[in-house]
Amino acid sequence: MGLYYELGVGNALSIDYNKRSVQVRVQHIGLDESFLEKTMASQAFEVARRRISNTVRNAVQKEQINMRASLSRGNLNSLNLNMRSASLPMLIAPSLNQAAKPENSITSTVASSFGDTSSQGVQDPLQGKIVLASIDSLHQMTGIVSKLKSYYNFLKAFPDLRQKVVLFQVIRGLFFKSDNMQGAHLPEERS
Amino acid sequence: MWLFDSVESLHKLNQDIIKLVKKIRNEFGRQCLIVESGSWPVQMRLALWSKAHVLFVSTLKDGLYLTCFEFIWTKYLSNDFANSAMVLSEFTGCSSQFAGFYEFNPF
Repeated sequence: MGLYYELGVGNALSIDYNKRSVQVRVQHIGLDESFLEKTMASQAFEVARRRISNTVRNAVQKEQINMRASLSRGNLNSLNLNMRSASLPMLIAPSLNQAAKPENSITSTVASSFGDTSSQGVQDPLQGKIVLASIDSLHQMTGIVSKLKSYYNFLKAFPDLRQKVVLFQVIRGLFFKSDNMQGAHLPEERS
Repeated sequence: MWLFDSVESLHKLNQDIIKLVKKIRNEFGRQCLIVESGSWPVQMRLALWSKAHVLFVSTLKDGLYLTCFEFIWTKYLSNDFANSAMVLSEFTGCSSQFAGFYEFNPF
């Protein structure tokens, strides 16, 4: 192409183009099959699998707590009680446990394993669910916003699938308190 | 995070994503959407692929997206190939290399 070029740093070809020096590098891109096989047979892989299902279990449990809280709010509105919200959970908790169970069969089955985080002999929270997964970096080009919007529309259009579908989205570089692997708590934001 | 602070658009994107996540969670419940941040090592990624049924990629422009190949290998090695599917944006670099996946336009 008649361009001036020279060998740059790290075997890269540096080409002078439009008063700029552009570094070009040619490499093979691919996956190492034996490495993947070795990783999947390792102990760390099993641990990772357990951590992922624990994360989902945490989310389901939190949802349950939220449901109870909103239910209690509904009860109170009907009774016209004027009390401080801080003292409410203690007052209503025993009656709510009975009321919340018939509401939802999926959450009630998880309720039986409530508090048991050892994950040995505990039912997998992802069993019987369709799991969508994706790992992206925080960037406009990855189209996370359009993805979430489409997922929102999807859930809106198919109400019967809300209990069956999980989107597990990992975003590299996002500033967000997640439902975590370490057990950090996201503030409850139901209005 | 000097990069994050200096790039305003990234900050805005972060806010948009968090807003959407909260909207979905408030309306449909927390168990529908699980969001994690941070970079995941290989073991975690493979574990996630082995747990997942559908790979959902929505890139607007891409060179070569190796995640798809990783997903396929994981499914192949765990003998779960028949129960899995891929939903890819038509702008991913590798979408021309596969057959039998679901293609969509993110715009």
